[in-house]
Formats: sequence, C-alpha cells, structure tokens
Amino acid sequence: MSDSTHFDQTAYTQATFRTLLDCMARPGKVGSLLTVAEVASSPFDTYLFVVALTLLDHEVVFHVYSDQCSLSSHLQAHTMARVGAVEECDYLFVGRGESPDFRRLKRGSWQYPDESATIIQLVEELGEVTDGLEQALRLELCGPGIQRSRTVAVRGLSCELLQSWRHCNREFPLGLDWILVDKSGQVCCLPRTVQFTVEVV
Amino acid sequence: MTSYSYNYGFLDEQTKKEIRRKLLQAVAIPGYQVPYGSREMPIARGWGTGGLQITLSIIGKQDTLKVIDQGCDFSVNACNLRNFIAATTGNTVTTDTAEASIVQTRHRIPEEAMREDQILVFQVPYPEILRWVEPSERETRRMHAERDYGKLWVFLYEDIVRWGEITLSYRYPVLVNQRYAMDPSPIPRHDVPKLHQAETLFLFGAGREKRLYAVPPYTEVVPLQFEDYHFTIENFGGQPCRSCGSTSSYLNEVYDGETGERYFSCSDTSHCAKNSRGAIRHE
Repeated sequence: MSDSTHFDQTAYTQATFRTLLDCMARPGKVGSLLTVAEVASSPFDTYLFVVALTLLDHEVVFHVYSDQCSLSSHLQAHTMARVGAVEECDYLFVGRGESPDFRRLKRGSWQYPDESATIIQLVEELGEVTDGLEQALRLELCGPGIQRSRTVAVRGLSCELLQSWRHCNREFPLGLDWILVDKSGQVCCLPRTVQFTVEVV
Repeated sequence: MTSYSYNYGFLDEQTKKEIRRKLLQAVAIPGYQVPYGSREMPIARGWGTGGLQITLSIIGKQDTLKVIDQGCDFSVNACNLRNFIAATTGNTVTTDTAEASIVQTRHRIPEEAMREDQILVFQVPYPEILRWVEPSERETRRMHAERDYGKLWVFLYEDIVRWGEITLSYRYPVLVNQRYAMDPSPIPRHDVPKLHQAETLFLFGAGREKRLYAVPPYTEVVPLQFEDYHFTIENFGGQPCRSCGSTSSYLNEVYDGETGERYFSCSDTSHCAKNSRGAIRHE
C-alpha cells in the first residue's frame, strides 16, 4: 500500500483486472492471480483481497459473509468501500466451505440488470482438468464466451450452492455473477449467462 | 521514463475501477448497455472518448496498441488518440493488426482475423439502436427490458416498402445472444458478420452517451433480417482494390477530380499494405 514505495498498485490491479476480464469473457477458463508481499500480509485471504483491491472503491457496497475476524473493517480501510447488508451489497465475499443464501442478494432489475451482486468465493482448488482433483465437481459449461463447451473442475463447492445460483439466474438478464478463487490464486468466472451440467468425480 | 506527472494511462484509479467493474458486468450481460460516469477527457466528446476511456482502463505495460479510424492508421483522429495514449502510458504502438494486443477502432473491424489474445475497443457515437425509432431513453430502457423490438422491425419493414431493400449502410441492428438488440457502432455491413462467434472480445464505449457494452467471444450476433429479405453485405461489383488487388476487403470509392476517374481502394490501410507485400496468406 502507500507505505511501500516499491509496490506499484496501479500496474498490479491492472494485471489482476485483465485476468478477471479474460476469465469473465471466457467462462470456465482458469486464470492465475499474482501475489506480492504487500497483499500477502493481509489477514483476509490473499486472493480475495487481491480481487477486492482491484474492484472496490467508495462507490460500492460489500459484505463479507459470516465475518468473524473483522475482515470487513480491514477491507474498508484499504478500499474505502462501504460495508452493507447482504441484501444491498454489490460484492459478496465468501470464505471457503461456506454456503450463503444467494436468494437474498440483489439480482438487478429488468431495466437495469447491472445493478446486481457479484459473488467472490474462495474454493479449495480449481482446474481445467479433473486429474488429481479428488471429490471435485466437474462442470460442463456452455454459453456466450465458450466455443461449444468447456470443462472446469472445482473442489470445495457444493452442488446445492450451484443449484441455488442457477435458480437465481433463471430469469436472464437478472442474475448473479460468480468469481471463484482458489487458495493458490487460480481464478474462474461464471457469469449469469453460463449454463452447466454438473458431475461429481 | 518520461517526466509527465499524470497517472499511468491519464485516468485516475477510481475512474478506472468504475469502468473495470462496468466492463465485467457488460461482458456478463452481452449486448446490454451499462451506464457509467463518463469523464471529461482532453478531447471533445464525440471524438472517441468512450473508446479512449475503455482503452486507458484496460491497458497495461505489456500491451501493444493500434488505433484506426475508418480502417486507417494515419487519419487525424487515429493519430491523435494513439499519440495521446502512447504519451500517457509509454506503451508500444503499431499499425500491424497482428502485432497489437489492443486495437481501438472507429467504425471498422480490421480485415485480418483477430485472435483470442486480442481485444477490440470500439468508439461508439450512438449506443442505442432503438434511437432510430424512439427518442425517449426511459422508453427504450423499457423496450429492452421487455424485449419489445416491434418498432425496430417495422422500421426495417418500411425501408423495404419504400426502397425494395434495407438501406441501412452502417449501424446495422443486430441481436446478441438472442436477447438484446444492439448497435454494432457505425461499422459497414461488411463487418457485421465478423462479430458472430468471433475469437476476440469486443468492447464498446460511448463517452458522450455514457454507456458501455460488450460482446464476449463465441457469442451469437445475428443481424436483424426477414425470411424473404436477407441481410446482405456491400457489393463492389467485383472491382478490386487498385493498390493491392483484393476483392474480399471493404473498399472505398475514390474519385479523381482531375481525370474524372473512379476507382476503389481498401479501407483498411494496414491490411492493404501487407497484402501488397504478399504478407497476407489467402486461404
């Protein structure tokens, strides 16, 4: 942050954004987020913090789901974003293994479907192939951004959560966009346009 | 390093963050116009400020930039935008489509097929395709919400009744992902099919109208057409480009005032030069 003269946050958030943009435009593609010492010292999970630094500022409202370590105030101090209830937040941060009720999030209106929430969720592991990933969910994706179909494997996500997300996206263009991040900084985006079939491997 | 005191890419970080957030949403809702707080730029609104703000928000130090205006790298608009971006970022610029990682364009899609690792940024004067038929923004919002595009169809139909064909030569309405009617910006009809199932991400910025939108790669983009009156691209009567001989590229008709001669030449200057050198592979 500002106490470090070497940390070029401008270049860092730009690189992070381009990874997110590429992944959002190509759902299921697994990209890599970079980490640096300045963000790794955060009490928040490093990669959730990286995404937060890139997207949040004083114009948006965020919520940290089941925040037990006052992570909200940490994020607020670094991004100046406002903390709000699940129902009004633009960005929902979800820790590993947690299952929030997506139905409480705002899905936008028919005239302004962009006024919806984006979920940034930590999972165990993401990969484009299922090899080496045990007890993972294999998602077969199709939709805009995907040539025919694409497969992504996710460990640390429940089928119920996927179904509930699908339920929230049943009335396109209303819906929720989902950014999945794993503990090694792999990232995968699932915009509301994605259709999927799921298989447990 | 240069001695300028601007932030990298001229825009402040808050502005970039807002545009980045909106771009992610635009990609998630293909063809939907996301409102954003378009900033004052050191060029006049209507001269490409929308495209410029998008380019400055996405560009990084590794990017190579190309800017075209009607296919030309050397027109006033393209030169000034390119010089401005290069001056405030220090990035490498090019005129070769294949070398660029970001191409900012006014009213053309390059002839050379663009790749997955490239992004095409459009400068859009009028983002609302329904403005042909409806002056009220509130009403066009409702029409998009309800997918009520009847008036647009009638507009095309009336054109056929009057002229026997759809006479729109640019801004040809398209339907994106079977949901949103979208203005593809004033590209000629020749370029409209390139939006369909493309490898490249397309970003559209309208600075004066404060809207941005996107078409992700591999997305269905279909021009509006009738069963008996199909969408067609321009026909140059089989005439080749006088410089490179291409018959497949989009051509400008040139009139020589002294000799009275009319001839055609490629609109995409970079492609034309490469083609003349034999650097384009024809399939």
